[in-house]
Amino acid sequence: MSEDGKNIVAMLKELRTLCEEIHRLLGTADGQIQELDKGWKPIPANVFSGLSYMLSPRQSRRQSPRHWIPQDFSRFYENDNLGHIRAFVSVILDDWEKESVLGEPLLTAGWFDCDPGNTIELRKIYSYARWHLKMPGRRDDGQLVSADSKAWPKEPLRFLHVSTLGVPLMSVRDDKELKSKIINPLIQGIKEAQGR
Amino acid sequence: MLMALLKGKLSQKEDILTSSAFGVMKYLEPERVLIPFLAKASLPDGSKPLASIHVAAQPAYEFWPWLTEPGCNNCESDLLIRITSSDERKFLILVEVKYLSGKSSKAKDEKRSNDQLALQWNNLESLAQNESREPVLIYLTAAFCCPVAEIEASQEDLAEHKHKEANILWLSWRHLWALIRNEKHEMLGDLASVLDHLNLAIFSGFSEKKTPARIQWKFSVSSDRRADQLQGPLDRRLR
Repeated sequence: MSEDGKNIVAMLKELRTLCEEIHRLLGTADGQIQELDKGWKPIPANVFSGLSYMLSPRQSRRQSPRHWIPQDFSRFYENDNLGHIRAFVSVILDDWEKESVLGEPLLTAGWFDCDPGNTIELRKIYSYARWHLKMPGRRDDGQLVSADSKAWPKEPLRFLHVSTLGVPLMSVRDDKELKSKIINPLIQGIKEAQGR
Repeated sequence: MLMALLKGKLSQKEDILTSSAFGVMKYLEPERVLIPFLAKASLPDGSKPLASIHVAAQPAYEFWPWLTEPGCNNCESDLLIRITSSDERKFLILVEVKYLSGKSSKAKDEKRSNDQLALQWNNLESLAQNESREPVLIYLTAAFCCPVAEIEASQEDLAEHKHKEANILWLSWRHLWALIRNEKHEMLGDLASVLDHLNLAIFSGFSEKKTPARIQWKFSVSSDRRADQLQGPLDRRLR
């Protein structure tokens, strides 16, 4: 067997293992969010969105081979008591458009505060899971950054405010760190913002 | 595994899992794994009614019993556990096990409940009444968080057939993995490995990533072939 052949098999195995680990991370995030507040529910339509996004026949741009491998995996959440909020947790692995945007994979989370009469439609929100990369003054040290939708005057946005936080994915080594670095600040941040 | 062999169940992964996990628990002190595991079972509102039970004697396990209570649709459940707590409470716990599938039957417009958990509850409630025990139905799944909608659908089916609200708790295989992941006991260590292998663990970090291989292979098109392609309709169009 050629070295190249072995390397391709090894590379794909690594990729599959990474996908399994990301699946566990996002699933564990689901459980932790519900533990902190029973009101939060994952939005079923975009369970581990990467592949469904890529395979959708309507998204012809996604059929480009550069897009065969998903660039992010995300979960969105809604809460009946906070109908105008859409929260998310996402693993951003890559950027198809601008390689320079991402030095290493990130684990990000955040929430969109929408006009109560105009919550984000499910079909629109997949790309919103990458919003951390667009944040003015973005920082990847776990601190929350907030912005008003006016920061993006040219985009037809469906939210009023957004807050995100992000850390290097590899800095999250187990369920405890996931909770302390991402889930606790996310849920706490939403609570504090609603209390203001 | 012994129980699965005895019951001819080896074709079903769900049954092998039931047998392997609860088979191991059966041979250990209940306070070691079974009771702490059951303690994590929660109602959809997050409360954990079994969180503080302590057992007085070895629980009795009954694998895959057929339930044929009068006035109820017959059904097979995965496991019945009879537990007496140190404060003299007697429980009859039915465990409905899932691995990759959901409920095997849903509500129908019939005289009796047909939703899987609802019809199991009907049998369990009747059986528990005969034995003077408290019925508890545990829905054991692979999910990361409580399948509230599934449990609510079962409660609705019961309500439509004029039954009281059932005591249906949710538990995840992932709770078991989290409980035994650092166990030194060899059998429990093996069980944790099986759960991990079946992707029934929670996130515990990323494995070490090997340096990505540089692939030298390239697929190139020969110059003859390129010339042929240039005659094709697509290339003409592109030109």
